Amino acid sequence: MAGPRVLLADDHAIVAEGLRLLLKDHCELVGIVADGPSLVAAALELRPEIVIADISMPGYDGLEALRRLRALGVEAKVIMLTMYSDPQLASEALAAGAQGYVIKHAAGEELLKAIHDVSCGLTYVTPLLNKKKPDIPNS
Amino acid sequence: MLLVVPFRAWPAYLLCAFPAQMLIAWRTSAPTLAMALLFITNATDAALGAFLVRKVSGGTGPFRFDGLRSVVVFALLGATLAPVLLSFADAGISVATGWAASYRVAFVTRVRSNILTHLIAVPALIDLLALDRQHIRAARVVEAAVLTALLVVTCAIAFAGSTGSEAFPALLYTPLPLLLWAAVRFGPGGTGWSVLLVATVASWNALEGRGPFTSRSPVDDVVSLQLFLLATSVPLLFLSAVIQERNRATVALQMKEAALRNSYARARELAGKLIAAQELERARIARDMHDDFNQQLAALSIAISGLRRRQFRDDAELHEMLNGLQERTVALTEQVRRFSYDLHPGMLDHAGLASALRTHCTEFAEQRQLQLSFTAGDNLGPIPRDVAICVYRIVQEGLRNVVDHAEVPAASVSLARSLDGLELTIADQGRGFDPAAALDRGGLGLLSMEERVRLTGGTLTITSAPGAGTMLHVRIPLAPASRAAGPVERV
Repeated sequence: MAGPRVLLADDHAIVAEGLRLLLKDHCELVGIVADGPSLVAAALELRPEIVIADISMPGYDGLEALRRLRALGVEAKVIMLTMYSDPQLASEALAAGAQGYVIKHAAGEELLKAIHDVSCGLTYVTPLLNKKKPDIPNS
Repeated sequence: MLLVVPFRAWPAYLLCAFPAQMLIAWRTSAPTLAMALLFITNATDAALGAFLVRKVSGGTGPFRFDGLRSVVVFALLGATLAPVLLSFADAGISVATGWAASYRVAFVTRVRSNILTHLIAVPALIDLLALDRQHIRAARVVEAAVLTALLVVTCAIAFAGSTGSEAFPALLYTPLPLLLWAAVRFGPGGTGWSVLLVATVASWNALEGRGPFTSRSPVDDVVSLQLFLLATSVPLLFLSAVIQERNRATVALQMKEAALRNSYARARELAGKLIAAQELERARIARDMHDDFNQQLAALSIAISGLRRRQFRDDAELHEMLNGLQERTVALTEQVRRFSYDLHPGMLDHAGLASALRTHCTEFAEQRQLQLSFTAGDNLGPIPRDVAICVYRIVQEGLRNVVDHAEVPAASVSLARSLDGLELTIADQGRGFDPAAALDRGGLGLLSMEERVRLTGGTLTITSAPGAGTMLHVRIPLAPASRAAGPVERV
């Protein structure tokens, strides 16, 4: 048993391959899928401990897949792995039930730390998020 | 008649009038010799009048009453100058043949009746000949019928009444409102017909011994009837011409306004489409950048961190990994280059239109599995930058259309320099389509091609029909080497 059981969802083959190489010594990679519906189906079937999901994916996106998983009672930890460094999107992901939010470019450094943290029941949000702009009051 | 038929048909028309003239001579028991001679003067009168009117009014086609100028020209030359000149001869003939006694009286009589006949009959006849029988609206026919009926009734009352009655002077004016109606609504032609009708009823009543023109001797009565008709018809004829002119100006203005509104609406529609297209294009660029470049950069970044934390058995293994990374970086660079080239083909600026097109065709053929032939003339000469980018974009769009719509594996592109311009042809033997219908549907592709060509002052023609292949031809005018102002590139 080499670390937690991980399901990976990314529609960009080249990124998925890089992540596979990165994770292979630290986790047990139970599956790689490339769209929202397959992610939900694979999570139900393979019962991973951790799901690492891209946000922009065909079918429905990673956030929608996350909401559906939570609605189906799947309690696997979910780390969103994305290009978007927008704090608004990060807080939306956390509100939808994610435990981690990592920017793809920093995955090499941060993803393993995020996997470690969420395994311990913590929440990991990348420090690379854009500085939060002052809230615009509703008028 | 001579006003509307071609000059070379005049002799025929004049000969046709001869038997009619002789018939009148026979019926009215006028001297036959006088009548025959008078025919010559009448024919000369008609020919001279018609000739002068047509020369001065300037048109090459049939004469029409279309505004004040035409009526003035007709009234002065056709209806006054020619009859007056020929009346000298008429009077001479009448006196010589013993039909009339006094030259002066004969002349004055001829002038009056000739001018009156011309003024009344000619506009009515021209109107009849110029009538556009295909486009008569029912409402106009009804209006004309009502006017005619009212005019007949009014005239019958006005010209049959007794001169002794108290209402007599006022009665003479009763047809006037109806004549004004004719002038306002039916132009010089309608006015001619109405005055003709008034003249007919008035003359008939006078002949029958009824109405206002029976007071003195027959000669005096004729003179006063003629003067009455002249005084009525001349102002009405001018009034109708002025009104006709105003109506025409109004209609022309309305048409211009409608055309302007139409083109304004088109411009707005096009602007809307352009904004939407720009937004789509930006979305495509953003998606391409996100999906391709960013993902690959992320993968590279991940791989580099992977390298950092790994222990390598030896330098050879490290080199192998680094080689892999470098290959991926080079591939990514190539993708970025192609992407930016699509946005703006920099080669156009450096290597010229023909080379840029050749490169594009080669790459396009490779990517889209198309057999593509490209030919360019040897000496295209200097091509302005705006023309070069226009031609390049049209080739891009045209080839995309071939792949998307023509359903054919082959196409050809050719570029050539003609004496005064640049000629581009894109042809395929594919499915074809109906270009007019496609433009009506307002596809932005065709529309933007047209607009691009229009901006360079050129023309774009698409020859195509369903099942008959498509040929797109663009012609952009280039002055022979003189359009050297502005940025010029060498091909």
